[in-house]
Amino acid sequence: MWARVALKGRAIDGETHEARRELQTLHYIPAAPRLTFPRSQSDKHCESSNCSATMGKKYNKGRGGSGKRGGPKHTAKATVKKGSKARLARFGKIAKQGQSGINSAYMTRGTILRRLQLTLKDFRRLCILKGVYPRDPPKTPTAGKDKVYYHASDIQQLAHEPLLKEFRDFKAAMVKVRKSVGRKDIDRARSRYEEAPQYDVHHLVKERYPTFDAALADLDDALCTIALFATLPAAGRVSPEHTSESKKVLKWWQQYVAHSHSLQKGFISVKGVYFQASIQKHTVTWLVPHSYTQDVPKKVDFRVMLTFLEFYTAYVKFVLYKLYKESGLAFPPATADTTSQFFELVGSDHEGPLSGLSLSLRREASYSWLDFAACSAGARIVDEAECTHIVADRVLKDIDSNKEHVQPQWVIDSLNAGRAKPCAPYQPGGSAPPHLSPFVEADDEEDSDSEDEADAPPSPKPEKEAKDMAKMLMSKKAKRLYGRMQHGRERKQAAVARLRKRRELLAARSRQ
Amino acid sequence: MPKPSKSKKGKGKKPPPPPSSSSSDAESSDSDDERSYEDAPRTWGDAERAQNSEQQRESGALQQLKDQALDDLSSDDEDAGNATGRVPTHWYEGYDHIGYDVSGSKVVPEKPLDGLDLAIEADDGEGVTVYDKLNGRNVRISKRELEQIRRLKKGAFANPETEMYPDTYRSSVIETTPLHNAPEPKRRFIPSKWEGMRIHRLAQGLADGRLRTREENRRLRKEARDPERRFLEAAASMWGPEDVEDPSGRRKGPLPVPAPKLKLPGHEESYRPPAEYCVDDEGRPLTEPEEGQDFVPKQHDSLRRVGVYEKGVQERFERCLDLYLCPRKLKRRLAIDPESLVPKLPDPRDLKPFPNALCRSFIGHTTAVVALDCSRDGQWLATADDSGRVLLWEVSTGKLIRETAVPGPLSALRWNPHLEHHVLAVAGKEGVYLVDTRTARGDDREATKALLEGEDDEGVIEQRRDAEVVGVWSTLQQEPCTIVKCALAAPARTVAWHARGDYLATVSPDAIASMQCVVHRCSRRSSQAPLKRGDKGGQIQSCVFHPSKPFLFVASRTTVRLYHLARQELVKTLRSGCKWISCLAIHPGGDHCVVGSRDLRLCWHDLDLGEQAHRTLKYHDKALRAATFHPKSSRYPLMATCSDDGTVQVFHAKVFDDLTTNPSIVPVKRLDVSSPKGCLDCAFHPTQPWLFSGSADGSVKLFHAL
Repeated sequence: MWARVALKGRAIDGETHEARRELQTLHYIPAAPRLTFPRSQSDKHCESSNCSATMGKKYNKGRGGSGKRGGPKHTAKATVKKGSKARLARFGKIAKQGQSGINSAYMTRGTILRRLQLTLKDFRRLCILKGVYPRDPPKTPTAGKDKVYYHASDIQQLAHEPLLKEFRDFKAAMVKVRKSVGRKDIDRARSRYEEAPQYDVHHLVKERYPTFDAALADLDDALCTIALFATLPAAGRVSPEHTSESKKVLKWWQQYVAHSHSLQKGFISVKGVYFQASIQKHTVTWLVPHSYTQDVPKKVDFRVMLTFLEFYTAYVKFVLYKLYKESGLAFPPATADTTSQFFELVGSDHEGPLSGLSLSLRREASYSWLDFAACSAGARIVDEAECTHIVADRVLKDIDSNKEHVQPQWVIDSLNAGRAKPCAPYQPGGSAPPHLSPFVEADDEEDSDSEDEADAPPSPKPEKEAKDMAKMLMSKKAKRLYGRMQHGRERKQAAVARLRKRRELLAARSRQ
Repeated sequence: MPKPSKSKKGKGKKPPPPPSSSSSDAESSDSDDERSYEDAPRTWGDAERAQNSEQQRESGALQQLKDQALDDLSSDDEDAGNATGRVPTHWYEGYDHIGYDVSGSKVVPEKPLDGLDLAIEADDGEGVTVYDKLNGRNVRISKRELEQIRRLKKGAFANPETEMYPDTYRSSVIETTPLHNAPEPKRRFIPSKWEGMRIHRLAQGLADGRLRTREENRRLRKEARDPERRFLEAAASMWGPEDVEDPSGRRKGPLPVPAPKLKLPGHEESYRPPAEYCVDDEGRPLTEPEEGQDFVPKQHDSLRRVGVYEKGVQERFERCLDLYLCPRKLKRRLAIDPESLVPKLPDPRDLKPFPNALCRSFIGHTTAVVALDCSRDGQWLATADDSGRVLLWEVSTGKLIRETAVPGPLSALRWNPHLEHHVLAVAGKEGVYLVDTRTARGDDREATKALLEGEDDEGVIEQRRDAEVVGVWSTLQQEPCTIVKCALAAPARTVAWHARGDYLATVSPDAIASMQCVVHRCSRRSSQAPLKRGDKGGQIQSCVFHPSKPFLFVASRTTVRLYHLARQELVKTLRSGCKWISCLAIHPGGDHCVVGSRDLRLCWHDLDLGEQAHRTLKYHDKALRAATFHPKSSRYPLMATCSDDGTVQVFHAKVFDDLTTNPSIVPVKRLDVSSPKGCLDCAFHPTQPWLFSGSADGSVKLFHAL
């Protein structure tokens, strides 16, 4: 039975052996210096010598017992009193076994579960909510290379988490509910269920993001998750409350972004629509999936996803509360269901690339994100009778010559360009210019282009020769590093060159 | 006190008014038959049931019902006709009877009523007639029976008066005799003092607000659990201006590692990417798919056709897994400009003059030029090739002056460094040859003649360890030029003059260990082998005299040893780390030497420092063949190496007298001798910054400084 339970737990957690292996191979590479765990000499001593069980204590400055095994042997004079300052100065403090060193600093998940007396499920929830993650130890602990290790200080935090008690209380309450149900005492069961302790993650938001700045810097994943849940079908573990709450929060966020005129870029991709906003000097990027029914693979464990959603919803709501308060708006805002109400909240005096224009979205082009993008760009969404531009996504039969007709892409392209693009190339039903990603630095490609052009007439010979000769004097290490850097650069340039060649070929074909 | 029974209590009190109107009440009191089915109660709650029975009791209908119920007990099953049991009726199909009764006589069925009969029946409104198929009878079901069926089907008793649990324990009789004789206590008659105090306290608490009623408590608890309210309370005090990153300031352990952000999408992820991002003519994607990219770029003709992205949920899930399961580590990302790794060298134009342009080619050799050297006065150039021809050229004009034939394939050639001795030393297969160049004028002619004069030795050399004869001297020819031969035990590979021009050292790697390095004295026509033992580093490859001190540099395959010739001892060993040394050159100052090797390395040794190379460079693509310093190093601090890759590399190699300053080695020019077979030797002009090179294809070139 235990085997079954263990297997079940593993499968549910989505942490099969292979997956864990794969995950271990990933290394995050942020741009901060790497830390090494400080080691004292005593650790080395412990690992090199066979510490016998009787040798319960070790000395940091083991001068007295140096070179002698089988326990600390004091060679202090009899006149030196035990515990005196002189003795401390001579021998150092007594260090207990297992309090320092790599094996006490890093522990495996199994050890943690045993020490904290947690189930895997609770541990996972705690880790997600508290943002505790495994760390790559600087050297391999004794448990082996095929394990995932957590740092003891992170686990120390987990151990003092008030949520632990709340989880236990809730579990105890549920036991009582089950008992009442078993006795068919439904009323009592119901009241016990309703009275069961509730927990919230508010203190964790403050703990993980001590400053508002830190909170703004980490919004990307939260918004992406919320936007995904807003489009998920409410089935299985995903309840309608999850979906509606996500929709609500996403809407509030979009309203704030539109109100603060902070939307910078948009990009219609095959995965959905990316938006990038600059909120108080922080760049926030989120992806709104296309509004179709999402495929939900069976492999996806929604308990993990819902725990993330739980934290992210609370976190984004707190951020929104602060943002709304700072811009003098009421939070939560009045429900703005229709586009016009949404627009009223945004305000009409906004100077943007589309300011002064009024759009009307045809039925097939009425996406909620398009409203948002258009309003953020300064346009107004009105009825078709009084609009200047009609946004449609199919061939139009009744063309009003007084109005411009454009595809939805025109709105996003105008937003990225910072001005209203000409409407003629964006006729509905026809072909439109290619939609380019605004996240690719424009000068990246231009640079490489210009470099390539510079390469075409080879650089002045003496300079190249001088550089070749300077390379002769590089050390082997530097030469190798330089070669690798050049290799990466050349690969990138080769890809750009391949694309340009293809573009020219296609252009030549189209001319024919 | 026993509780009075329901019936007794009911008699004395007036029943509560029924929900229906009084007129219907009067009607229903006559008979239950008069109540329509629609009015009849559909649910039988206790209250309604009690009320119903009250009414019936008052009207006497209850008694009637009871009687009827008694009637009901007499089942009409007794006179049931058919007694065949559970026999399928279709067995009797085709017979005029449908079974047998208890007495064994046939049961003949009635004919069922047809539609018209049924219509007539239904018209009187007094129940329905159904056909009992088992007994073959038309059965009339009265309205009351229908009601009973309906009740039974609902799970109620057929008789509304039936009680499931009759309270048999209640006595209708009040006992006159009490169970005990004690008088009633006083407290039964006066209000409790303590209860009063308690009530007073509770009332006071409620009035003060100290206590709350149960309802109040429930309401407050519910409010406290309201998530909206909890959120607003927490949000009001969430972030303030005085927040700091680590409020406690006590965080131990490693720094937090923020998760890296997701990569932003490129053009290929667009719903309408540029055409060049889509597949090429063969259907392959043009750009290499990114890590984890799971789609092929495709141009959609309209936005509504894009559809859902199948991997969307999966990708987000994987990101979530990464966030909480993936071990994190801070890694230093190398953020340096690759160009900063390339050392900054002085501009070669500031280091002029150095040979940088082809000035002249000397045409005359047909086979590989293995060695060349320029005379000390700088007028003549001597070159030797594979086939044994030694050519003499005039440097200023490039004119071929003379050709001398020396036996054997040749391997090295050096001009006597003494200005008065116009003699070439040529290393050949059979030994070393001294060739009079006949370029001497005036007194030099006598000096040259004196050097080459002497008596011929007799005998032959044998390759024996104890052989006393090292070299056998003889005059090969007198006309047109004098050639003196010193026969050696094995082919001579290199030759080197001492600075005074009298001593000469040759290396024969194929000889036995003690005979590999031989030192000759020309004026006395004597030869001796100074090294009695072989070298651990393998065969001797090259040897050179120190320009000013009595030192001999001997290069084996891997090491260079420095011997003091007068004291006959080893002074120093230089270990360059090369696997096969091919050439050796000493700086004219005498404090530095370079070692070139077949494994593409050039090692610069500072003799004042340790045995390791001061600088190791690797720049030629093939083995180094020769290395040389400019003889006038103070004026032209130049060094050159030539290699099998067909190039000559010129360095500006300045050596400082100051012991603390390292020599500066700056490559200034790569000369391409345009020989695919490689360049075999190079030599500087003694007075000009010019360089001669001899190649394996037979070309000899002069490069001068522009």
